[in-house]
Amino acid sequence: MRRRSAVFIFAAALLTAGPSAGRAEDSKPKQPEARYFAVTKATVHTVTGPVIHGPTVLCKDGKIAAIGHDVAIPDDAEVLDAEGFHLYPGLVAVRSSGLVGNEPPEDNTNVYSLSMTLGLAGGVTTAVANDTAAKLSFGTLEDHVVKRNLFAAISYTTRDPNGRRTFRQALEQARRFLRDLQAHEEKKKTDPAAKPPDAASLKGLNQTALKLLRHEVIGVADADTAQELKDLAELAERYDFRLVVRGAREGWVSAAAMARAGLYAVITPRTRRDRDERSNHPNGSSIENARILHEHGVPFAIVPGSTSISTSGLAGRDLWQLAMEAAFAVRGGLPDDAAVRAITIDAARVLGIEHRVGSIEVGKDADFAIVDGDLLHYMTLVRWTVVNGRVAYDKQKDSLLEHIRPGGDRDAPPPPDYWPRRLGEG
Amino acid sequence: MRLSAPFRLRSCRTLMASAAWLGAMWLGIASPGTAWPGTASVAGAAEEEVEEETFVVIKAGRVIPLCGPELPRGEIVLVNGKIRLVGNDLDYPKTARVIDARGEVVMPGMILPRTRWQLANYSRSGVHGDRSVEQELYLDQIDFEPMLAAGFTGACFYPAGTGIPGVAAVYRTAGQQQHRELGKAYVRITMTSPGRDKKVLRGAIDKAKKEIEKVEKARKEWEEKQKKAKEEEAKKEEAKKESDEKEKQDSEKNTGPGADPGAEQDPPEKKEQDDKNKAEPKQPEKFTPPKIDPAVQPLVDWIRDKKGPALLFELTQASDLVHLDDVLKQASELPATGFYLSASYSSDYDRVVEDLGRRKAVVLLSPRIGRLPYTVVRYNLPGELAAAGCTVVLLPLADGDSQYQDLRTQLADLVRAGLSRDDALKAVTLHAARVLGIDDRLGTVEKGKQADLVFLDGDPLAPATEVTRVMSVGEIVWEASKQP
Repeated sequence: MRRRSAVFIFAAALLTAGPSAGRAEDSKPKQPEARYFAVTKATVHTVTGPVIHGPTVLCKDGKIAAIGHDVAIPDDAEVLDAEGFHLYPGLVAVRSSGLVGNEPPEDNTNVYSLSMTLGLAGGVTTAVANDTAAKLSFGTLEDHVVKRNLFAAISYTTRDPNGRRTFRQALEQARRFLRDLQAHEEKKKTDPAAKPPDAASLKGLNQTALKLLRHEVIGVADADTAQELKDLAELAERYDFRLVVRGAREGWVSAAAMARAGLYAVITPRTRRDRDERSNHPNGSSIENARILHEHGVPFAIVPGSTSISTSGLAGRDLWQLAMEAAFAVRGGLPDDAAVRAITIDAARVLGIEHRVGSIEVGKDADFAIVDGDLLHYMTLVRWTVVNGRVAYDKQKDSLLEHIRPGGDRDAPPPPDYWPRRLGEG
Repeated sequence: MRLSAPFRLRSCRTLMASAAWLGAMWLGIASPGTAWPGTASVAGAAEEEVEEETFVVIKAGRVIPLCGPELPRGEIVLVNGKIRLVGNDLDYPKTARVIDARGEVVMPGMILPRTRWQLANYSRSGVHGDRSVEQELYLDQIDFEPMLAAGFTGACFYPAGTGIPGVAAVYRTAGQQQHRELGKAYVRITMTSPGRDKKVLRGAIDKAKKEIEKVEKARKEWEEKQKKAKEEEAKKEEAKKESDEKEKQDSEKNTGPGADPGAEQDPPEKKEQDDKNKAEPKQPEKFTPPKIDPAVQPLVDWIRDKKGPALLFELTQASDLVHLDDVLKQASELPATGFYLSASYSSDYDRVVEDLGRRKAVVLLSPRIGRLPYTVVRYNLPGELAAAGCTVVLLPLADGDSQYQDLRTQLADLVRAGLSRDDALKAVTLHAARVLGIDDRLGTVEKGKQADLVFLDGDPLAPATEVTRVMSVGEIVWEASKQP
């Protein structure tokens, strides 16, 4: 481990030193110096790998550069000693409102808003507003947007049979067009003068359907009932496109079909819906929904019932309680690690940004929720939240929760760096 | 020579080089019986250009110059509306008009850095760096009485709207017509709603950059043309030299024993022609840059780091500064330094106070002691900004008679809450003048500056203190005792 990291840092040093040592110095604008940040001694929950006790997580320019016990920390690095704390990947909220600005977020986000701070206090580092995933990059707009045009919304409900038929026809037409296109490609090999598929067939073609079939975009649909879920699964399987279903309240009934079709789900474990006794099919919500989906291999993300964050108090089912929402699924039999995955890597996978966020791996974004216990434990509070290699939230420097002592430990001394600073101090 | 003409003083600065010398001179010449005509007739043709000097002396109970220590029983000598001397026990010609203000405090006139007092409710959006508030303002239709009563000698009117609505302009609140206009002040640029304003500013910056590119391209083309012309000229000259030499050789041959004497008359003419040919391309063609769209001219100047009217960015919350920097970084490495912070009592500027201090920003804001957002903790934003290193400029909470009157009391509140007295007083005088680009003429009681002064019947920050007189360019333009 030591050698590897040493080699890495050497290579990094070479990379940064390269241009200045060479002739290119005058022609190229001076590269800003690399920004190093390191978290030491924390228990690191990598999520996609093992739990590592007490390594150094070194970040360079907002990305994780090295993880290991003998990683050399550059002199100019900002070091966060997190002994006794647990480091998780920053949580991913696949639905949110108010944490980051409306489209486009880089023009609308209030980077000092209370909602953002509260989200960070809940461990959230990436949130989706409308159709864009953005970081809760407190105080800066650098690397704010993660991905735009996340989804293509489709409507396929039992309440609108006409709409269903139209959409099916659109998919069919798109598929035919793609087949013709492929046939044409084949033909072209032998006959260079072959005609391309009729332009008329392109006319009125549903672009969303075409993009779905070409796997250029992930579809998203709201569906809660077993029937709708089955229908969507069948559609996705038949036409082979990626689809995320939001809601999936009765996913425990249709889990097999959903798994077969490779559907993703966004669920809210605390959803309650009584069984409709008039139906002799299994229906209604189930506390075991998450477990059953997990056992069938349906990847899912968890969101709370309210996707905003309350600025008037901390009680309820909003994004500040994202980890608690996941913990509720554990009560229904979901394994702990799967619950953590549902708010980190699997949530990132639902959004198609798993290469950037969701786990602690070299090369990924340095987004951490550093907490004072097991993430799913009700006594756990976030101590620091790191976004893009910057401390975006520090419980003891922000007045929000600075005075909170879980479990009535009122004797704990207040931190020395109490905020706010007053005139005449320091 | 000097002694022989004691009644008139040249406006030469050399005479005024040293106050001590001046004093000695006054002592020497102000002998009894010598008259000091305030308005002397022109003595001789040789001295036609010499400006007449009218002396006014203010004997104040206290002078607050804001460029040095306060002077109890201070005196100010004015010459033609300009401050010439400030001090104690000054010497001045006997004929000088004395303003007895021994019971009053004299300080620089206050300047209102941002107002739309009595302007029509007219605003524009988009990019209008070429428009000025001067186009919508008619001085004689504005009632400056409330400003004068509150001690304002200058006021800066701004163009309303969003985006880049135009340039603000400063005026004196009273006085002679020729002194009223103080010039253009700052270009107003809003970042009050980043979702809307970023797009506008981005577009304007792109335009400005294109205009710069256009000029640079034209300059390059011109330079190349010039080069080519030079080269061609050089070639021509060489060819000419060769031909000349040939001619010479020929003529030498011709001017042999049997040469025609009449042939010699031709060359001079030819030479003349040659000279003409030479002279023409020698005149360097002046580079005339292509016209720049005047709407983005202020941005062009800013990107080129050229002097022009300052850019004043308007923000409503801390986050707007981050958005502003996000846009401006495409244009220049220099950060924005002029701001107007419009604020509510619970604005969150505390987040960016240190940042603003680091860039030594000039910040306009209202004298509010707000509270930290979502708390009841009082926060003296002007005080914190000044402590962080900003130049703080304060303006009334709103336009209106009582708001103007309240400003001094609010300053006192800020001072009680931690702002220094000096910063508070400068915030409505010198620093306001600085942000408006008129601090070379106004803002302090200082030698060489214009005498825009305000007289008060006590300490300017004391609640009971009232404005007694207002002076503009050396003339009393408002007196409390003469008000109905």
